[in-house]
Amino acid sequence: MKIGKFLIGLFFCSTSIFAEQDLQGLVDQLKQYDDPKFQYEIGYKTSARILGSSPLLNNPSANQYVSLVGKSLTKNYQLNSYKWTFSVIQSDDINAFAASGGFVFVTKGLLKELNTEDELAAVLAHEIAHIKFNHYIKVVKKQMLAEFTSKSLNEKSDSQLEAMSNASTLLLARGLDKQSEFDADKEATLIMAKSGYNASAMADVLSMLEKKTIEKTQSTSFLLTTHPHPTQRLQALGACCAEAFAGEAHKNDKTKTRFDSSLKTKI
Amino acid sequence: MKKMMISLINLNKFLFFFSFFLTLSAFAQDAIVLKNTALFKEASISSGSLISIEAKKTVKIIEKKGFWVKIDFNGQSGWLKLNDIELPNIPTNADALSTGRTSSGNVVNTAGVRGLSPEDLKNSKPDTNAVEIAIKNNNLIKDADIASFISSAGLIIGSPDPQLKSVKTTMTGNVEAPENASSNNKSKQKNNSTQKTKEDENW
Repeated sequence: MKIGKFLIGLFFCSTSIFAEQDLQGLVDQLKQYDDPKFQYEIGYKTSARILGSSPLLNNPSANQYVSLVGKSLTKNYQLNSYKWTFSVIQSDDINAFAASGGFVFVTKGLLKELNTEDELAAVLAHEIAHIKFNHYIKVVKKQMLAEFTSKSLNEKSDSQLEAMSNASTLLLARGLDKQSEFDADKEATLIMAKSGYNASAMADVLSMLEKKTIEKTQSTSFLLTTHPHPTQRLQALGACCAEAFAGEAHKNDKTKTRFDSSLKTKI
Repeated sequence: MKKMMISLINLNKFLFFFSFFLTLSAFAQDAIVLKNTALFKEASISSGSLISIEAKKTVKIIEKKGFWVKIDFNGQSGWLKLNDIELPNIPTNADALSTGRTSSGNVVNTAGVRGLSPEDLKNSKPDTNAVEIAIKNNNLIKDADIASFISSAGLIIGSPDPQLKSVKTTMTGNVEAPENASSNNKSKQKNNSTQKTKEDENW
């Protein structure tokens, strides 16, 4: 609705500057961004860039385990429309990435810092939330609208896809806005709870990141430039969710063996 | 020359211990209590309360566990909920690290550590082969595998949202409105404490 109003306004004030076909092109393009297939293609190309900067970890057992946890989280009616692809990348940095359409990447460095399957679920659920909320597409869409005011769009859809995936990759390097990260943390606790995971593991992961920040380890520097401070995230998560989840925390011993055998001893 | 070396070594030692001290002291942080609250024996509401602490009192953080923080208040230790205290600000050197990453200076290059910087990502060449492998790996996992992975650990397959309705109503901010949100949300909120315990048991 807002976009509609914006476009009408844009149309009236820009008829002298832009040809009508440009505006039509923009409208078509904006529609395209909401198409899951197009989003998947952008995600695919963004993923190619992520994997170009850090290769896949050659560890079938760890990869399979991470995928199984991720797919367990996405087995519900709100999330099962995506083709989810969960992967581990070789980087020793502590970080995780999401690309539109269902691509999630977690670094070997981050896996090493996790203690339970619930914590792994928290990391994956945060990325799943970014995809569910369409965070990356929304920002890229805004960028394309802004660009429209400065130049006309006559490029073919192929290069548009290229431009979109490039913008999406740059966004991963620059980071989303703080609110999107807080929202993803919050949503992650719900995604976890829906699958029977212990939502308080989200707070544990943030406490681990906070500890790493205090230790000033280099491995979190990228993450810290693209995310709000872990303490801020912890405080925000506490404010929204502590009352809901501070009850008796359940411990799931059944996940311990497979976590230890798939990750702890092999990564 | 020798003297200079010794004084340099001493300086290094001093800096090492000084940074060590800073790291240690950073862990023993002070926090402000936000509202009158009970101090719990353990990190759970059912553990029972020890004493009550008034708002604006300063407590020392000992450790964090989930949505709970272990604190020390005048020699009495116990647990507070994360939302009952204001956590102290911890400075980050992320800016220095990110700018120093490619140039050197404040970044120590650790041999064998493969970092990943924003620049690496920006300058990366697409590897579509790797994406195909990632997709193929994920396609190897069948629905039956996921189902047994879920059930063997007592997890839940796609639990319907209504189970979480009361949890969502306790959340603030712009988390999506619960599906099938009913008009009795307010009354549910009032009864939250009792409902929460029940749900926690379910999970």
